Amino acid sequence: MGGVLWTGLVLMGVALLLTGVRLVRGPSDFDRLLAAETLGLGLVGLLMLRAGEIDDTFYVDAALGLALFSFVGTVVCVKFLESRRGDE
Amino acid sequence: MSELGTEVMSLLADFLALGGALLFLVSAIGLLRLPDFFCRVHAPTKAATLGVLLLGLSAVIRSLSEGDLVWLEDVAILLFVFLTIPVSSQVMARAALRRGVAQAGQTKQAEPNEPSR
Repeated sequence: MGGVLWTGLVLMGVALLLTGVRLVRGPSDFDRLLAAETLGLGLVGLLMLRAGEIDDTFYVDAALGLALFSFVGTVVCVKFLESRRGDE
Repeated sequence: MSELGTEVMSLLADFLALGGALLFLVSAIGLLRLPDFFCRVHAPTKAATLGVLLLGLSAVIRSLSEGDLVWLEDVAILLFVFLTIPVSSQVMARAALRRGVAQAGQTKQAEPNEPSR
């Protein structure tokens, strides 16, 4: 495992941390939802990378499941937020 | 595959992963610094989609150079992500527009052009 890959992994960690800041801070619920979906996307990418790194197909299955649930969860949350009455 | 070919493939996979991580960093910075939600929805939609493509391509190349069939599932994940990210971001932006999420002052204020249900 070379230094290039390690640099990439560290940058990826920084990116996910910054996304987590938006997840905590985000003024509206939609900001939080967007940050959560971006986190899910990053995790899918990291899981695929990890599955190629060690020889274990379990990680790819986990990535596929996470991608599916991320999309369905986002759409369901949007439907809920859209129909909710009350203040912003 | 020869020894040199494996080295080159591994290096290519590493650099693709680095590129994907850089794109994710760009999308995270955009998510942090853009002024309102409708700008922020733009950053991860483009940058993170391309980033996950590069990370997935890196995994595909590594799987191909090892000679197993995991790359098929990687490609399936990438296809699914490319189909769903535009849908979910469009749904989010439309719902935010209907709910009247605050827009930044210097943008031309947009209204939903259909009656909200």
